[in-house]
Amino acid sequence: MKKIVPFVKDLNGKSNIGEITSIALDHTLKLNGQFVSGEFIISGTYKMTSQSETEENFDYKIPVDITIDAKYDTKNCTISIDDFTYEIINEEILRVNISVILDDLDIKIDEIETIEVESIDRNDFDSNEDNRHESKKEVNEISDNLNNKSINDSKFIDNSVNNISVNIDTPNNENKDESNDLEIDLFNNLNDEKEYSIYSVYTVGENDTVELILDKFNITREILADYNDLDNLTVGSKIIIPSVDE
Amino acid sequence: MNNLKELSNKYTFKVNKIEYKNKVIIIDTNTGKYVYKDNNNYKTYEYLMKRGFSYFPKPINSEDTPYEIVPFINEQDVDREQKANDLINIVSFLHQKTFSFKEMDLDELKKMYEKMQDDANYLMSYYSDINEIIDNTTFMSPAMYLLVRNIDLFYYLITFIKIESTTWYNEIKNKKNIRYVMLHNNLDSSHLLENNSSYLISWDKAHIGLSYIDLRKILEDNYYYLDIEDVLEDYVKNNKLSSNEQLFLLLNLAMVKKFELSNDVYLDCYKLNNYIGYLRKIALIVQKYDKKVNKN
Repeated sequence: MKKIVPFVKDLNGKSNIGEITSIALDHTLKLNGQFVSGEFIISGTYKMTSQSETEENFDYKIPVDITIDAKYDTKNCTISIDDFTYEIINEEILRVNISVILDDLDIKIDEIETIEVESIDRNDFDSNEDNRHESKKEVNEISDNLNNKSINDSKFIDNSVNNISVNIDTPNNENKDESNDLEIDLFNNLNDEKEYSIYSVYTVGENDTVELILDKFNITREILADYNDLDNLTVGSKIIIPSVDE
Repeated sequence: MNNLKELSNKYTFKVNKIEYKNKVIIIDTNTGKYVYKDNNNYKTYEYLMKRGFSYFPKPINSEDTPYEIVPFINEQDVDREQKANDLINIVSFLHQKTFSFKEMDLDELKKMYEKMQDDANYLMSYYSDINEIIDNTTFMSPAMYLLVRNIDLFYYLITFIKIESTTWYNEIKNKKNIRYVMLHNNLDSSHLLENNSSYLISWDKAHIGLSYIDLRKILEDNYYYLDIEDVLEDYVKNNKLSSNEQLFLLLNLAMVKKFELSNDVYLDCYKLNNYIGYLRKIALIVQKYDKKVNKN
C-alpha cells in the first residue's frame, strides 16, 4: 500500500530572490516504528535579480515528523520523494511543495481479523456484550489515532487513512444501535413482570366436575378457562392448573 | 517537469534526491542517479550508434517519449588543458565516424564562395571604419586601444580570406563534393564528462553540417590551452582531409568576427583579449600556409 504525504513550506530568503539558478531537495527521513522523522534539506544557488552576474548560495533544513497509524505494519515501509516543485513569491519567499511517498505499508493481520468479526456480528442477532465492548474499544482507538494528527510539519498518513477509519466506524455504530435495541427489550421483559406462574397438569377423573376441580385447586373458573377449553372436557383430559407464586 | 510521478511509476524509481540544474533535473533514486531533460534526442543517438560513435550516455527512455532520461555520469577532475585536448579528440572521432559527401551544384558552391567574399569585404570595411573612429577619438578606452593595436591582425586574416577563398572556389568547382559531418554544435568544455570513459552530453543542437563549426567553437574557447597547429594536424590526419578541404577549414577558422564595442569596457577588454589570442594562433598557421604556398 502506498501513502502520499504532501508538504508546503514558505522559506524566507536572506535577500531578494530574482531567479533560482539551481535547487536541490535531499532528505534524511528515517523510519522508527510508527514514526518517520528527519529533515528536508533544500540547497542551491540564486541570483538577486535575473540580470545579476553573481550567484548566492542558500541552504535550508526543514524538520519533519510523520506519525503512521498503528494499524499499519511498517516493517517493509520505504520512504521516497514523490514530487518537488518550487515557486518564488514576492521576490522574498521561496515556496516549496514536497510530496513524500510511504511505500509498502501493510495493514496488520489482527486489524483485518477484527474488522471481519465486526462485520459478522452486525448480522448476528445474538451479539453479546463482549463483542459490543470490543467494537467500542476499536472505535476509540481509531479516534485517538486520528486526534494524534498534527498540523504543521508533522503529518498523519493522508486522507485515505481517514476514509478507512470512517469505513470501520460506520458499521460499528450501526451494530451498536441494534444491540442497544435488543438490550432494552430483554430488560423490559424482566423488569415489567412482577410475578410469574408455576403450572401443574391434572388428569380429569370419572367423578370429576369443573366445580370440584376449581374447589380442589382453589382457583376461579375464569383463570382455569384462560388456559383450558372447559366445554370439551372428557375423562382422561389433561388440563393446566395455574398456581399462584409460592 | 510535471511527470516525476509518472517517471517513478514507469521506471519503478524511489526518488531520494532531486536537483534542478540549468535545463536538466538530476534524480537520485534507489536504482541509480539519472538526468532528466525535456528534449528527446533518441534519433540522434540512434544515428550515432549506427555510425559507430558511442561516446554519449545511453538513454533509458524510448523513442516516443517527449523527454529523455540518461544515467548520471560521475565526473572525475580533469585539468583544463587535458580536457581541451580530449574534447578535440572526441570531436575529431565524431566527425570521422559521421562524415558523408554531398554533391553540390555550381550555384550552391558559388553562393558559398560569394558569401565568403561578401563577409570579407564587409569586415574589411567595418574594421577600417572602427579604426578611423578610434583614431579620431581624443581619449580612447582600453578596449579601443587594444583593438587598434591589433587591427593589422584583423586586416591580415581578412585579406587571406579574400584571396584564398578564390583559390578554394577554383578548385572545388571541378570536384563539387563537400564533406558534411554530424555536428554536436554545443561544444562547451562542461559538455564533455570524463571518468573511465568519455561522454559528450547536450546533443539538443546537433545536426548535419560543415565541420569547421564545431572546431572553431572548441579552438576559440580553448585556444589558451591548445597547440592549435598540432590539434589541426591531428584532426586533418584522422579525418583524411584533402588539401582543398584543409584550405576550406582554415578559411573558416580565420573568418574574423564582427566585434562590437559596448559600454562595459572591462568586459570588452576581457572578450577582445581572448579573441585576439585565438586570432594570433590562427594567424601563425595562416603564415605557415602562405609560406608553403609561396614556395610551391
